[in-house]
Amino acid sequence: MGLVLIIGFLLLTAGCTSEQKSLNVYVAAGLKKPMDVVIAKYSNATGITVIPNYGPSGGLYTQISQGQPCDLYYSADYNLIEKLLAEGKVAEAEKFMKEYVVMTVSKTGHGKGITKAADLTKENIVVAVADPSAPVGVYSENVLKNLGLWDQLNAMGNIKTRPSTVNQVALMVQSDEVDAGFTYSSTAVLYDLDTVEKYGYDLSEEIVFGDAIIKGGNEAGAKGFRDFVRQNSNEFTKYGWELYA
Amino acid sequence: MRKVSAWEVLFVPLFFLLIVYPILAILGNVTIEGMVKTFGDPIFWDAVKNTLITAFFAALLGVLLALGFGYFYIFHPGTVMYKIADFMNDLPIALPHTVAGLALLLAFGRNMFGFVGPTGLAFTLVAVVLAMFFVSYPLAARTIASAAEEIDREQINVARTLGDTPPKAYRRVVIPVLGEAIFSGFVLSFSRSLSEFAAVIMFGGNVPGMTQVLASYVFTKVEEGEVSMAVTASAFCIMLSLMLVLILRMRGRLHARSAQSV
Amino acid sequence: MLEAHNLYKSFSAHQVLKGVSLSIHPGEIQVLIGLNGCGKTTLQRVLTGILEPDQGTVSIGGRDITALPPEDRRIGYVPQNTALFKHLTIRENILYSLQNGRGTEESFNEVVKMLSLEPYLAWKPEKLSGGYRARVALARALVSAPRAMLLDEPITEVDRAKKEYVLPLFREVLLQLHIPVLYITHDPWEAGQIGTSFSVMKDGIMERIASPEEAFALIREQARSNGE
Repeated sequence: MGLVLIIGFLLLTAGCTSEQKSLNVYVAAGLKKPMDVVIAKYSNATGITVIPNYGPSGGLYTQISQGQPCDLYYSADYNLIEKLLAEGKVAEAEKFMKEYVVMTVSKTGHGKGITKAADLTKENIVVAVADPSAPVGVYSENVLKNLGLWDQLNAMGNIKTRPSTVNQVALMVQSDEVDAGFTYSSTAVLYDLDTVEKYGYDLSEEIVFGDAIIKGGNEAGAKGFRDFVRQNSNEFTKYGWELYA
Repeated sequence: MRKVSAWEVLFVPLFFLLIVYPILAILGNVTIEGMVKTFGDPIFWDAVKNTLITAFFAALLGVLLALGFGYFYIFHPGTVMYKIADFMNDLPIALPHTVAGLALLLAFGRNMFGFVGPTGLAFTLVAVVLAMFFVSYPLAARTIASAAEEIDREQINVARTLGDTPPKAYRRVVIPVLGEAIFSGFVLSFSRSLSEFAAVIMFGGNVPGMTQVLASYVFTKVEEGEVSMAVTASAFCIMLSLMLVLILRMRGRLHARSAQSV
Repeated sequence: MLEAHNLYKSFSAHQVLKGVSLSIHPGEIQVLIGLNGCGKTTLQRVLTGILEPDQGTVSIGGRDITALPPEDRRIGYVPQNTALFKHLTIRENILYSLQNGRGTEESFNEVVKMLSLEPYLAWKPEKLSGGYRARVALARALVSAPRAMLLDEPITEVDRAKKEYVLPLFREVLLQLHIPVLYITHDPWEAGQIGTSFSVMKDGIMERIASPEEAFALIREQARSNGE
């Protein structure tokens, strides 16, 4: 019985060490749909298994920083990649796509006449802003702070929910549990939401998605996949992202 | 000299490595800086207060409903109502927590419960209680049901021949004897509620100072990169849980001692 | 008068009661002598109302109580393991039915005196011996002002010497009530000590017998056919 346990444990850990035939890619949750498509294409073309780990960019950063095995990191916040660069963990990094914060409204929100951020300060408006653990949450706060609305909205209690991912915000707008939610423009396309305002970088700060090949991993494999993603960038731009030239 | 078995040799180091060591890792990483920042953060104390209050009510609700379940278990085990309730005892445990949170949001949010308020029941402390209750109720139910199973049926039958209706017999004969199980069911639910996270975020709102719970506070600090604060808050949670376990054990020992002395 | 007509009860494919009928007069202590497995437990449950019969009726004083739940039947019940309420004192056990409007302080005092339970009223059940527990169980049922009594092997665990003392006491107390009493036991000697009439359970039916001695033979026969 003890032998079975030991063998089982060894098998488990053996499976975790990456072979040349597989790649560990950490990807920001907001990129899931197009990335799944590209991964499938890549596996078909090369036979290499890509194992994606989707999550909030901040959480993924922490995992990499703590030394979890990762070959390639796609972040929704280039600042996190700069942190990794400072920690000496990155072999190669580049800016990938440009993203913008938008305000989307639900059916009820539309009915309440919400067309701009200032409308949110009306009575009984229900707003969703992601928690700062997701970069979109930080950017949305920036927008509202720069518009001078952040303190007022908090004091009124109109920000009723702070979910932990941008997808959760989108879900709440889509199911009409809130009047308005702040997401990325790509998320709005993905979830087929009604976008009423798009904010420039003067309000939100530059939002750049980036990728980073992590030192000490399968760097060659990571490069191959990254270049493949570049070649297939149309899978991404159709959601409204712009390539960072 | 007795031969030492493989279990004995393996158990102690494994237990220390897998259970005790991670906890020590947190406690050992607490820094003065972390403590100053965290204990000085009013949002932290809001989270502590909100978490303790909501977990308490969630556990209370859980125990009350578990007692109701116990009643059906004893008196109507053959009915459809009981079978559904019994099945539902296992469901919340098997459900991923974000799914549970989403389910609660769609069920009690403003689309179905709009008459209650602008967000229905969602994004309020009540929602936090409900989310905690939803995931911790099965623990209370199982604890109480298995204790109810141990009860001598003849006592209930005799009580009925002495004039008690089933609810009265349940109150006079079953519940007093369930005392221990009620207490440990409560503590289990309370602990489980304290650590609930994903369901609470989806349905409760997670607004700092209003509906944010301790588990989410820790998570946010981790994501923000404020590791020292996250560690302090986690250590606080660990101390809290340890206290709860201690209380449970002390109660258990007191009870055993008083039973012997009769 | 406690009566049952043609009681049938089966569990899955097993027919336990096959048309049981009985009638017991006020002041009669009828002892049902039977081995384990003969169906006496099932009969007891049907009479107290815990189980519903598949067919047949139960009545008291001419009134059909088959549809009544246990709490409305007014049949005092003393079970095999006495089932005293462990979390209550002896006094609280005996007074239990008062909260349901049955019995009085006077009847309580009388019963306690008859069964010599005064010194133990503040005790908890676990401190009492088997014989005294049976007395408390009997007292508890008596205080509830029953219209009939059903005792299911109440002193089976008690040793013979104590039984010789307790049985006449119980007989005297029960006779004083002048209500129908059904007493179930597997011990023909015990039956002789307490009963005024006797019956056995044979093939799922109750049959009157003239004396406990007849039961000996029947029991031996039954044991043989069970392959012992």
